[in-house]
Amino acid sequence: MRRLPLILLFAAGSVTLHAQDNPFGTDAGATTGATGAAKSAGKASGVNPSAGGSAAESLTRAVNINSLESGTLLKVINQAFDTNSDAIDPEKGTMNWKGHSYDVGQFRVFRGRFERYLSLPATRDQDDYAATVTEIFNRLSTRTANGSQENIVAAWKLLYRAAEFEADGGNSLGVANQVFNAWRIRDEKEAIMVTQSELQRIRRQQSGRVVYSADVMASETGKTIESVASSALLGNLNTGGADSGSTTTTTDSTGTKTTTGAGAKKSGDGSAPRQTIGSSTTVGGANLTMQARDLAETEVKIKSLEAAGMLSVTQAKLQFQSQIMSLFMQRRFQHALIAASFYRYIFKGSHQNLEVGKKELSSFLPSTDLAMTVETIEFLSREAINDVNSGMSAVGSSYDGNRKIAALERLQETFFLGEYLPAVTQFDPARKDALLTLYRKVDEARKLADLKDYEAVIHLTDEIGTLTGDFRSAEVNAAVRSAQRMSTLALSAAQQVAATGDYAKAQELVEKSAQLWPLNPSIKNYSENMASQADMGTQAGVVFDDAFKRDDFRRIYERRAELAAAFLNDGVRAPQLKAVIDRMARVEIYLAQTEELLAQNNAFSAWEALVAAVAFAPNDVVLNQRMAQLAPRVAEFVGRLDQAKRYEADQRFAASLTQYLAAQDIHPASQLARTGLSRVSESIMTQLSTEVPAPIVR
Amino acid sequence: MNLPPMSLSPLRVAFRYLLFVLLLAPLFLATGCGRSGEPFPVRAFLAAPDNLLGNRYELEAEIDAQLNWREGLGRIIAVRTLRDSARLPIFISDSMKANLLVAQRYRFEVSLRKGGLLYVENLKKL
Repeated sequence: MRRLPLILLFAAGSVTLHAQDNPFGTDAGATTGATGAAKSAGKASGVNPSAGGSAAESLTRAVNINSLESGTLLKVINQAFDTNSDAIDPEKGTMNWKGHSYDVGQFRVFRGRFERYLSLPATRDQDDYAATVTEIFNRLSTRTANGSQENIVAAWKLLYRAAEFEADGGNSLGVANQVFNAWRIRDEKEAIMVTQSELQRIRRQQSGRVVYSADVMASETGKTIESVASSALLGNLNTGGADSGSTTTTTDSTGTKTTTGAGAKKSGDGSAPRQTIGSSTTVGGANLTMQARDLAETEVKIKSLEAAGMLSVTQAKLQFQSQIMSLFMQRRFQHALIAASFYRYIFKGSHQNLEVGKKELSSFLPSTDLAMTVETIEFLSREAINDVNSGMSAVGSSYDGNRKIAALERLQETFFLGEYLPAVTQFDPARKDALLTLYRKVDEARKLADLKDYEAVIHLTDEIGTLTGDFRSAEVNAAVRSAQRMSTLALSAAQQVAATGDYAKAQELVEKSAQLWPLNPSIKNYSENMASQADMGTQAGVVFDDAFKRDDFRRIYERRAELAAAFLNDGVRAPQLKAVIDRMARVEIYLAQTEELLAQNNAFSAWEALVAAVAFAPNDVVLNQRMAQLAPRVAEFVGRLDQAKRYEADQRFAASLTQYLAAQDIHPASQLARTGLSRVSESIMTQLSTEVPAPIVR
Repeated sequence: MNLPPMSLSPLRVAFRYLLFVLLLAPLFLATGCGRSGEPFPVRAFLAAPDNLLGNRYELEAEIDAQLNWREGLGRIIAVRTLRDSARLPIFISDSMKANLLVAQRYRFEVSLRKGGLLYVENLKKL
């Protein structure tokens, strides 16, 4: 009892700490429930003032406060899974890096991927793939390859080779296709530019003709060149269709239109044309109008080609940038770098600004007013690769220092970011193997802790302790022991409460105990005992009632311990049982006395002892057997006593007195005779006092 | 021949009386000379006291123990018969003003009254 306040204090402190530390909130409800139960237990303590009840209530309170050590246990064990880093958010399934959240899907799925990574054996392909990618980088490097077209094409071809490796995931092929597409668009642009040059040349010719015709017409009509030209362009010149002769417009393969025919010749031969300005009609005006239309058509074609060229380039740029951004967001940092390098060579400097993904990219950078370019992606990709490399160095360092749990944590962190990077994929297989073993052991311990199989947890944590130097086995064991103690404490409280008859409360405490430690072996024993007690209680009731009805006190007395336990809370049978036990205890004493007297060859006193015992258990078999055995030895004495009793019963006191005296003669020390004499003589006196005989007259 | 009446001398008469007494003396001694009642049948009394109710007997016994005494009424005494050493209860009324002590021997004249009580009518110390 002296230790209870300490336990309570410890338990309360544990609850407070746990409530603050619990990162998952899984036990919050249980804590609240426990507090509520503790309050109810506190109320209940005021109801039961008995000492036993107080002890039970104290236990109940201690149990209900509940340190929930299993939560701490899980927390410790989960250390190997929860990277304890702000980079990982298992609940949201995201990984933060430089302020940006990567969606890694369900954490359980990602954990599965990590386990698969650990279990994957190293292959030669990995090395070949890494060599291929390195070669691509070398070919694209501005430092080693000087950006020659030959190296770029070689790098492009290597992309196809790299795409054949499983580790590549087809991303190289995507980059290669993107590059090919950009190149094709570039070729189309060159073709458009050739067409544009030809059209511009035609436009210059057409423009010259229009100017000449307008000049001539202006001189003939006396109007300004500008007004004539504008009228021609607007089609308001009336040239007189009959005299204008026919004109033919042909289109060559490049789309250039050439106007030929009589009309054209007439305008050129210097004859005076008839033409009207405004509503008038002249042959020369029609020619000019046609020339102006051709010029306009040419202009439209040129503009159209320019727009088509621009559109193709912009589209290619956007596609390329989109792919780079996509690779970056998928943490394919190497491919993002490769694509960015190709982009740099394909698109000129003025196209380096990012048109897509600026918003996503800005989340990686602290300042958002910076210009987002392809180089920004390159920078961030290199940064990520460096982080992964340094992370893997930390993993190696922790592993070498026999801090494998820390190594496992760092590897998980690094794996989330650099899942596709060689530093991660080419991690030493032997070390991966060791970490996988550790990972599985810890995972098993976590599952066992979830199931609260504490004995197995302790066994496993001890085993884990031999694998690594930084697993907090002692802390886990302490948490387990504490949970086990709390469970046992709850069970003890249940037993005490059950002893007071409060079975509902006992059941509640047993459930609490099972909740804390479901495999507690004491719970099984308790349940079996309770079941047997219940069974025994039923049986005992039947046995007792039957024996009590038949005055078979001997049967009750022989099962007194069992019955006493069964009738502990039976208000009717318990007092009856006590009375029977008291009676039979006296009988037993007399029987023992009889044995002693018979040993002294004092049969009459032995008989008297048996007679005294008969008053307590008239139907006791043992007693009657003893009396039957002894009767022949004391037959006359018994006969006298019996006769005396019968006379006494008939109120023939004098005759009874004579028989008592005769019995006393046989056994002078007879208590029965002595008491009989005293009793009967008194009766005679009483009788005589009321019936004084008349004196006999002589 | 008629014999003349003979006159008895006084000596002869005395002799004849003496002879008669001597002849009757054994008989007198043998029948309890000096006791007035019938001896008490102990065995018959123990077996069936009811059969003796109303009878009077003479009982010679030794005082064994006083079983009860009520002032003004009398006392119940256990006596042991001299003949067969059986103990019997008797009632002696206070009116007899007897001084009884254990081991004293008396001849009691008793009558059997209701309930089989041996009521002492008279007693004489032996």
